Amino acid sequence: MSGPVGIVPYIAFDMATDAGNVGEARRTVASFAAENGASTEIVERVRQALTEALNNAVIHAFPGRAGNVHVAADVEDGDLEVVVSDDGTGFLPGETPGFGLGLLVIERSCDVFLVRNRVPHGVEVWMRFWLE
Amino acid sequence: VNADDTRTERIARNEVSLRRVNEAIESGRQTREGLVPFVCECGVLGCNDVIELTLEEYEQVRSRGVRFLVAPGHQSEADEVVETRGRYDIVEKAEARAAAIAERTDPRGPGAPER
Repeated sequence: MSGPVGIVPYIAFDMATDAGNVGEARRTVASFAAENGASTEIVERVRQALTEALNNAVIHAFPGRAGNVHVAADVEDGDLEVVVSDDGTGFLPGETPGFGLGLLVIERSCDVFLVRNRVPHGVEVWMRFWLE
Repeated sequence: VNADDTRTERIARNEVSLRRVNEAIESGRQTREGLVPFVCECGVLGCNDVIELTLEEYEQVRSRGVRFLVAPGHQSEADEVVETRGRYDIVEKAEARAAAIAERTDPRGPGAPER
């Protein structure tokens, strides 16, 4: 789904938690970013952050079963916002391979980000990139 | 600059980034109750430990800019363990350059944007 809401450009889609879907999701959001004023450097940062957010969801959100990840992006007040959310198990304590490094890459790629716990369960990674 | 200096600074910068990750987790909480999963801030790239704390416990860690949250036993050579809590340790930067990086980048420090 994509199109204007009022004057805000946005896209939103669901992705099955299959690693093979990450590339297509990344290309879709990167294209949206480029079409809405993101420089090559910002698009690359979007790609890096999105890859890690999607991989974390694919690997950790639904252990042992399939699920969906929701991806949304819009441009508001000159900023690109990208949200990756799921209704999976949330973060579990202990060793979670690749998880910390993924969040580290997201932190370094975004201008602002939040990790929200969803109620009743799940995780939402909200990422903002300054376009100006 | 020798290899140890570079390693100490690299770990310190990773710790600072992981502190920002945990600040993003805390800021995103929709409820204040219960245990909250945070990432280990030890700064070693291979570490993927998730540690659960209450938000009150987390705030105690953040009470000083040179303090970090790590899984038990994950302190670096630049750290001094100042509290052991079972589920996690609180370490303080004892090495001068690492402490300076931690203080300068403290998101709760005097130069930080308003929360």
